[in-house]
Amino acid sequence: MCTRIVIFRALAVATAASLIGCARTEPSPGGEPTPDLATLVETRQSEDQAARAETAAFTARMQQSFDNESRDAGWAAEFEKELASSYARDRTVPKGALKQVECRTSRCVLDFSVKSARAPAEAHTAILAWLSGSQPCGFYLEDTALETLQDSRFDQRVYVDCER
Amino acid sequence: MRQSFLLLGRSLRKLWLPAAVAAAAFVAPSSAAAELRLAVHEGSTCYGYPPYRDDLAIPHQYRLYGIDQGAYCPIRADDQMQAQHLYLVFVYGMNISVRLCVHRYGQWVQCGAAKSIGPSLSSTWVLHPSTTPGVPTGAFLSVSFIGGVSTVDEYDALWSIPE
Repeated sequence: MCTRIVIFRALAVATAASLIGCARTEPSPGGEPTPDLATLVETRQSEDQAARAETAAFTARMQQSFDNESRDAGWAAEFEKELASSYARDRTVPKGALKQVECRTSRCVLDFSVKSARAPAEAHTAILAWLSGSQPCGFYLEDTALETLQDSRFDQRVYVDCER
Repeated sequence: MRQSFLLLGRSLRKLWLPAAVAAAAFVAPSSAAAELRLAVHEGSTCYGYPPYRDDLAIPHQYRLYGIDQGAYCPIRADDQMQAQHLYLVFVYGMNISVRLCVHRYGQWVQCGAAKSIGPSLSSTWVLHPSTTPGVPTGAFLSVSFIGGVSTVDEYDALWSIPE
């Protein structure tokens, strides 16, 4: 799916370029050569790939930070309960999609598995809105869940950091 | 160190804005060569959430009234004011909880800690998350309406742009 998106973007840029015509490949009035479109597309693709590698490395560090934390039994149990009951009360999120909540000393990991009759993007947005409105801590997620969509089902892991 | 303020959009007609500008001088990063810019947005720029329930947000002119859920307020970025240089956002409203989120298209979303404004019209500021997976391409304010009469009146993005 990722490859398909990259190819789609490249095609979109190339199509736009052909519609615009060759004017852009001519030297600008100042005499400086404009970079050709193939180079621009290539640059954009390699930037995208580098960013994806950075994202994967960052996610691995988030997981590592979580794994390295010991469990503060009191805080963790209370926050896990708060998150789970808040999710259960929310009217807009996909029911039963929050499969696991695990907290340590200042961080939590939330695992969602969504099989929704609604549009997946709508379910995804509802989960993000719930995360924003239900708890005070910062959070991070890889925004690739909808790329892995199969039979209207997607999985999403969210890292919550309470900086206690 | 040269610091200049460029006010975009509306003039300084609200009392809180000069206070925000003054506060910016204290909270902004003290990099050797950075230009501070403040971009003003009205609450009317925000989108109420959920979008499919029109009973949850009252149509608005210069402020967004919310009753139940929340809103997303986009922060306009351009070639000069890029999301990676966004430092913080001042928010003016009531009965809301706000946080600043940054993202890179189709790759990741990261939101900072939330801050709240109580039942009287007041202001707060929210910071750009301290570490991000990479260079963000966009930013938005995520607003949750706490209850009662909740509003987003104005939000002003402060950028610290390296010269």
